[in-house]
Amino acid sequence: MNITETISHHILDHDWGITVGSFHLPITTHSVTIFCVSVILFFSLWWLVNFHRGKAGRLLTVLSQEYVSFIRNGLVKPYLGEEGRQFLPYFCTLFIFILSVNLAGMLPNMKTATSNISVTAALALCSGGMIIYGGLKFHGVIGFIKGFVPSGTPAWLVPLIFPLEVVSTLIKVCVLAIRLFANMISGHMVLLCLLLLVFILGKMNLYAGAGVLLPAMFLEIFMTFLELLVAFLQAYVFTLLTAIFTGAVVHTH
Amino acid sequence: MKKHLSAKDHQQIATLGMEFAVAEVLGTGGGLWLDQHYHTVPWLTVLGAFAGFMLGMYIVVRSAMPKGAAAAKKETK
Repeated sequence: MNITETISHHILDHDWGITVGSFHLPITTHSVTIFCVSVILFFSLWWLVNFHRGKAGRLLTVLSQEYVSFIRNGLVKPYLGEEGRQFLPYFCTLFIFILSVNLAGMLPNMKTATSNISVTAALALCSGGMIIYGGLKFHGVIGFIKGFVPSGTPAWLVPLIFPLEVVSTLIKVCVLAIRLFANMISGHMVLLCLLLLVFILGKMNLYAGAGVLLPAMFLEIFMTFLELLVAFLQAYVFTLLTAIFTGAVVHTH
Repeated sequence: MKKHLSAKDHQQIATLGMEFAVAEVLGTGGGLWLDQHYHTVPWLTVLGAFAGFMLGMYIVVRSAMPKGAAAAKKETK
């Protein structure tokens, strides 16, 4: 058994796209997962808005209202204040999208698209765009650029501080992408390694494999629940940090 | 021990370690790329690593300073 091959087969993305002449349309497992999640979310919300008269519909309407209140009062208002109301749709979308994609990876035959650095980088770029948009909207171009230099900085230090501040903002966006990617991929790797432990030890010695079976299964179940927690936690952390960074740009004082 | 930090401060502090690491990796990676491009191995890598370290330190110190000042102010009260 080639362990590296097995891990990479289960963790990494697979391209089974279509090639017509020199044009290649990449259709990957992760992109299909994202597409499925987006379609399900879109139609669920569309159904909720238009056909919510039944008992289940009313319950879901209350739940969605609670969800929006949670994002507004727990994440947006404390860091962005009243100005954050116009950013509320973005934060609501961001949280539910990341959470759904994270949880989709727990379903059979689906993969966690957020364990792909390209996906998390795209999400972080959206958040970076939101941070810049917030700064430009509330302070204008000049005010936004001025906001990079902390107040009270001596004039001779400005040429040094300004690039450092710009790069540190870019790093914040990079960190958003890396954190989500690393947390999601590591959970799946741990799950797979625990499972492989049984087979590796079983190949070395049958009794050792049988002996490690129960502890490995127990740890597997424990890690699966931990993965569920991490799925919620990382969606929350990503949204919270985007709110904090946007708030820092909007309220520079 | 008195509580000086809010939930927001905790979140920001939790990101500091990774910000420091990313700054270092970006500096070193950028230096390595420039070294390979201009055939100046290893000078730009070393320079990039130093620049990344300095940037990481700047990020940490800048984030810590207002919190330290606020904590000191509360202590004196």
